[in-house]
Amino acid sequence: MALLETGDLFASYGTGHVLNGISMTVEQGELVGIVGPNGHGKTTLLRAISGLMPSCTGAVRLGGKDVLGTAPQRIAQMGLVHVPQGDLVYKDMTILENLLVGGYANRSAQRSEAQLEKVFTLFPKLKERAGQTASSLSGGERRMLGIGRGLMMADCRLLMLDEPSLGLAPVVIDQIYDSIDGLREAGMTIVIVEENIARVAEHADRLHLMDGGHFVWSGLPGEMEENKQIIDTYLGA
Amino acid sequence: MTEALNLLSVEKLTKAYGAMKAVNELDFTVRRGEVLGIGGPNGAGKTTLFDLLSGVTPATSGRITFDGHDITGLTAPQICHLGLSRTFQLNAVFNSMTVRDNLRTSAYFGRENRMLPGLRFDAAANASADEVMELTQLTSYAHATAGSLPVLQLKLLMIASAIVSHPKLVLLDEPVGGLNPGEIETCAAVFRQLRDFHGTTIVVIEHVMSFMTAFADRVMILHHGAKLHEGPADSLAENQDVVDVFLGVSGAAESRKGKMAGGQGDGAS
Repeated sequence: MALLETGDLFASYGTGHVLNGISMTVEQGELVGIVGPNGHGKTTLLRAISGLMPSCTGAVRLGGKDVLGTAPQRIAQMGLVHVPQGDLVYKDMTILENLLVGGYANRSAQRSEAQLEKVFTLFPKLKERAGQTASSLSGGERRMLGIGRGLMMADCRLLMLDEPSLGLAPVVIDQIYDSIDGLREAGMTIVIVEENIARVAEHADRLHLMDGGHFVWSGLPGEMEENKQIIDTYLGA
Repeated sequence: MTEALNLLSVEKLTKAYGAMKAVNELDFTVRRGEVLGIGGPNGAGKTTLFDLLSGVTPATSGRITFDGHDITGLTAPQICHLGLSRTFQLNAVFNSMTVRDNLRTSAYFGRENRMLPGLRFDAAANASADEVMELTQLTSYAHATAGSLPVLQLKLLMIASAIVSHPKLVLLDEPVGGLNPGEIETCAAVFRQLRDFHGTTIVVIEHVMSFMTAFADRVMILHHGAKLHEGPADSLAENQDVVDVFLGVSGAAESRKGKMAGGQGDGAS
């Protein structure tokens, strides 16, 4: 049984569908990359899976359980972590408080502490500045904090990252992808939305290319070369 | 009278937040017509530097000279009216206004002080808005509400808002982050036109190294608010400190690739 399955998923923000019947499966332990031009539904797909899209039809199953229509916080408690795009940290709270919020579903303070150690190892900068408010961080540092907050959940079964490399220095992107590899080796299932197809192809088991709310190509990273034409058509690579 | 070679010069510029110096005694110059790239680790002070140059935040000490004027301590509108404008990392447009109205507003208020704004935009503002929409390929979006724009068009609108007042110097803060290669090329084409046909001087912060090395004439790397490296774009990967704190292994590889692409003329150069 696939850990995540969507069937004929449609979603809209009111005018026209942004998702036009997405069917995908993500197996336990797999890393799936979703690429495609901006404005064609990648972020909306993650939002629909997390329960953040109010008008949504089709099916979303997490661990075999139908979760479409379930409140987002309930879905999160089932072990789905969604690290969104952008600047969504609590600016008036300290860095440490922001991180602890990410561990709200953890069963004990010890588990949160263990996760906190892992996050601080990945982003030493957050440890140095743990007591400062998030508003003192630069744009890129806030992205680190957002990713770190996502990694605070101890019982994460599915990690969804929306453009983890956006706004980060190249050396930090390397570190993030190294830690993604580490999480995978430990058995984590991961979905990544990424603009940089070459980067995600180095790590993903399978790729989906999205355009106009459809998957226009799906395949293995090794099959990219023979499908170069279709990929270049959509990405201008 | 000949114009000075340097359009911008910065001397001992410092911004302190308590004991932390976000920008620390920084000296650098920007020549007329050049493209200067600025890189550095997250939190190095890059955006703070733009805030100081554009008057969004006052400097703690030091001096900024722009086009012969000492602009240290001037307000953001005063600096904008002298011909220095900027973009922001995150969305900074008027979401509920159309693309054209955003640009007319920037053109009208960006060029001179309006003590008694008129009830309608003047002909010059309308003409500038139409001209810059063409340059940035936004003409077909003229009547779209800014808040409803796709990511690429939103980025182009932010760039258009900054250049519609015909600045001498434009500061671009991560203009191509989050865009795919085809979209980056669309933006790069706009920047090349600005540089080549409008003579605009450009300072750009960016983490996308393939873009940076292909487009910038010179690159300055900041670390802890100070200069870690300064030199031609292809010199980055040769400096081990830059590789260690900023580029990493794949960034160094990408910076070499970007240079090659630039040499072949199919990159962003």
